[in-house]
Amino acid sequence: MIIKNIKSSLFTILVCVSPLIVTIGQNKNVVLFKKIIEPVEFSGVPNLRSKTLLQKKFFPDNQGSIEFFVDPSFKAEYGFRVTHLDNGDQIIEVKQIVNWKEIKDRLETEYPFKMIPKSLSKEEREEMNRINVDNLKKRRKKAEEVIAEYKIDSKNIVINESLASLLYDTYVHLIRDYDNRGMASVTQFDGSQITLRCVVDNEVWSFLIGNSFGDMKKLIEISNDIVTDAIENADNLNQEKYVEQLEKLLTNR
Amino acid sequence: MDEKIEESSELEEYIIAGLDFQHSLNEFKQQLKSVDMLSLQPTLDSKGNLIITIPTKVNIEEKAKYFNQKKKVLIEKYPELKNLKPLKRQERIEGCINSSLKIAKALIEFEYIFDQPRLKSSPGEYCFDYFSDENGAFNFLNQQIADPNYMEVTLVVFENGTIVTVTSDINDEHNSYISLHQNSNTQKWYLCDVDGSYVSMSAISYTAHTHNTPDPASDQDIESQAMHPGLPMYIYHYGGLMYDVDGNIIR
Repeated sequence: MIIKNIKSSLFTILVCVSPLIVTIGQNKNVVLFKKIIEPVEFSGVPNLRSKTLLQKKFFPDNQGSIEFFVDPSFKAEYGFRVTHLDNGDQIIEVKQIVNWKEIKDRLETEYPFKMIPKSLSKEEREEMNRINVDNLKKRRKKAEEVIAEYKIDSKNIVINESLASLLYDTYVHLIRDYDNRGMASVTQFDGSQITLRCVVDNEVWSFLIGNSFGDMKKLIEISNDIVTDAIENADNLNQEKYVEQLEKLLTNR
Repeated sequence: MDEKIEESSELEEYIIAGLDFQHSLNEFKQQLKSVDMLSLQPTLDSKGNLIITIPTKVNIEEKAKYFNQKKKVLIEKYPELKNLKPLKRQERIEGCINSSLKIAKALIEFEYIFDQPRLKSSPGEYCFDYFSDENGAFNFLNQQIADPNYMEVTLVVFENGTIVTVTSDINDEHNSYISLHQNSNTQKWYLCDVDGSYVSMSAISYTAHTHNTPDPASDQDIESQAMHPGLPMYIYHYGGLMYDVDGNIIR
């Protein structure tokens, strides 16, 4: 057996056979997800129909080749996108809301949701319940309005071509090939709702999921790590680490 | 033209050869683990290349040659494949896989592909704890909430009075999971294990998952409730206190 032949075979297999593995190695659980494919622009205007109000505040156009957006149940939303500059550089824009807690606390004070002691009389409990339900309704309605007050911090980091292109390829392949056949449906409580988006030719692909499994989970973990890393080490993002992880993710599929 | 590629025997044979090659590589990888690398002696071939012979039963070279032959035949017949974008090329391959009985059989033969170690694709396991009455279950939930290593737990109460708590192996402080199935005739909901089998033949009366702080239902909770019409899904806080996704107190 000749070592160099093995290497060349491995290369061949990665290039030629990996698409097969994509099709046949999928989840064993059914989870809720949504995939939307739309024109990237319509009548000369960016098509943002699949973006929520807050996502539009984060990413107000479709200039990003990819977007990553996380809406956790009990924390501030965050995300990133990769864009190309006119000078050829590619940058990753990592964004997070800096005054989320402050606004959340204010809403909770304005519209409190109080636990109802069992020691109260039936009438008192009913009255407290009525106030709770009413406050919760108002708080949820107000949550849309306060988006305008959110201050979003953005760290723009120049990234190398390898990382930019691997991120793009992985997003495209995993969104495109996502398969959700399985034996049992998994119902999720709490957790994060995640949106991955990529622009492919004249289309924008949006992929929405709660908790994910398999390769998609790994991609989301890598994307989350990039956000954390960029926030903590904006001047020294460990790009090689992510290149290696993404390569592994793409080739092991 | 594209449909022709998908239906061609050349593409079919190329895919099967690729699966065979991948299977052999995996076998080879396994066998390599038992080879003592330090005992291998490198030699020079006639062209002066350094050669190391590895004692395995799998002939990778032969499989690779066969695979490359099939690739050559395919490209000769459909040279346009070379210039096709990867995504388009993959579409043709997937089309062929989905319509070929031969490939389906090869996939079964090489079922190792389904068993390759992958990232945790779970919940891989649910832990079910049974209780004789609600108070016992509530005490258990209260203990969980008070635990410094708190993770969410779901309470499931069945119509026949059975009470169980469900904890998946991937639950954490802000996440919990259960598997449910609705009977299409009765519209009632049943609790399932990870393999889809029913945990009880009794329908579910209600579920409640814990929040360790008095937070109302999250967006995900609201969506989950919407996806399970007719099944009350509550939030359990401390002391047997429960409320629905709209904030209505239940107890």
